[in-house]
Amino acid sequence: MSVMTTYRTRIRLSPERVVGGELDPTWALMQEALEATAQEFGGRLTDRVTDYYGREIRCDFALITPDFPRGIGLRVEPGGEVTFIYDHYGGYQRVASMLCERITQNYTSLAVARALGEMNYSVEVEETREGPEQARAVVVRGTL
Amino acid sequence: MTRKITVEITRSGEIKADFAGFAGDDCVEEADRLAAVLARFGLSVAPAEVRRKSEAEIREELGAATTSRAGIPAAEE
Repeated sequence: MSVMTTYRTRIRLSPERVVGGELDPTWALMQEALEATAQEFGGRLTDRVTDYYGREIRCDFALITPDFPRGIGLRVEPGGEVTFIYDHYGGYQRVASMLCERITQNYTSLAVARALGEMNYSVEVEETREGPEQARAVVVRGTL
Repeated sequence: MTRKITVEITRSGEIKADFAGFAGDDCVEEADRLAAVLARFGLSVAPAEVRRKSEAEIREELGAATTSRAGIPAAEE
């Protein structure tokens, strides 16, 4: 039997950043996802974002890009859930939403590729466009 | 037969997984295994829709596999 399955997903990191003296793998994966997003949009990673008034808010991760210099922050809640923190006031709603989606998509793609690799599949990753909006999709193929 | 899992990750982070080349309920077991490994990588997944492939789709997969191995086009029905 072969099936096609659609899954809803939710990112949940380890509640602890460092486990056994080493960066937890889920935190390392998020760091990697953010680095990929930063590279794509010419941004950089930091540990704080600013609001409309210029006040700084510290976060577990933060990404600043030229299109959204206030930045997208990520806070890992005690249960491991990830919350995005940003101030989109003044016309930044679209770019902020897009960056959050891209971070989520990159994290999910990396997690799927790593998982298939751990299951001994040979893994290939391809970026495609889909739908009338030509939205970016990532295809991860595993062959065993 | 070669087993393939093709996973599409949409803009919103939803994933669509296509399991091909699995016999019987093997694909269900493999889907469960994938979900367990993904959880260790910080990704919880919950099936929103599961669709068994039609006989025609499975025949097409098998035909494609035959074509790949034999290097000749599969016969059309």
